[in-house]
Amino acid sequence: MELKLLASSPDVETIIATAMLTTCSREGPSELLRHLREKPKKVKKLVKALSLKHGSVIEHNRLIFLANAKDDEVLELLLASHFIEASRLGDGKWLLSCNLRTVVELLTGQHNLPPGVREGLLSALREVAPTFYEKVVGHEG
Amino acid sequence: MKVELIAYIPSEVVLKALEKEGLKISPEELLKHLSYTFAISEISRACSHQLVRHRVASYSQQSQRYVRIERIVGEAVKPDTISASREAEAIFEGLIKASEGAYLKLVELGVPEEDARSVLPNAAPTNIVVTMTGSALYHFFGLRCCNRAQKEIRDLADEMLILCRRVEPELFRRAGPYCFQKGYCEEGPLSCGRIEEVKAKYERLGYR
Repeated sequence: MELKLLASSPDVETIIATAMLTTCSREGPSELLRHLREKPKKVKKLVKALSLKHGSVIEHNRLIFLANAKDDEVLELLLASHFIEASRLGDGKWLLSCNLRTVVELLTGQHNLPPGVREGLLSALREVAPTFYEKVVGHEG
Repeated sequence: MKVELIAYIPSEVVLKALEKEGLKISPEELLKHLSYTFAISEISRACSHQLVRHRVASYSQQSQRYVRIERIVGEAVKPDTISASREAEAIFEGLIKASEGAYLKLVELGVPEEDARSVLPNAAPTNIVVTMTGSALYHFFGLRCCNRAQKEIRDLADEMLILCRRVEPELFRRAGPYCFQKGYCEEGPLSCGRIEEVKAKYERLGYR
């Protein structure tokens, strides 16, 4: 399966940091976001400190992929995660999407992913959330 | 209540990328893939309880375990139906004051915040980050823009719909309560009976 990242939510890591601070701060998320947009170093520090067990804060985003895939490969991927959306676009062409939590669970779990999926997900992760990518790659060993 | 759309993927970006590949997708299918993230502040815990029942979504909410409440007097979310009656308002204010006093006293006695919060009311304010796909939002609007929904969450749903229509006017043109989406009311004997008025409201809401 060949995965190509078509689009993704903006400011993925800043939104992760905003969601993290929303849970433990008196300030509202709009104020936190405004503050964090001016402090990229703080965003990086927060994302590095994030525990991978706390999945909800990494769900506030979407990655949309164009996939060249056989039907059984898409089925295999959908069975590996219930949180992937899939639309058939034409012969062997699919639009697939999910959030970062699903990406991380697919990369770090014991799944038999179709060939090409791991590479496609890692490349997308590195592009949209480089600090978080380092963390996940480190976690994978 | 403060609501802000803080992140989304414009449909145009996906449609153009697909066009380059000679591919197309229907609006209904596209809505499954687009997500919208809202920053919501100063809603009541009663409202957030209703919000998080929409399970096809992602939430990051202010914790009452890790955030010590300093005051709820003057910050609690008071429903209009309570403000409308002086007697009802006095009962509400009395409870809020007593609740705040009890909470602060428990914390002072060494009770952890996670347990002291047991005496906080549903009116206590909260903040939350919410993300839903376009199709999940259509369902949320279908139920929560309805006149049968409680006023606070209906106001929240209306605000979210306005923000969606501002950035994606065509994609969300058919969004609104289910009577607006489907052309008939599903509430049976509980229907508000004002379908034409509701339809007229959602034809215009968020459009200039």
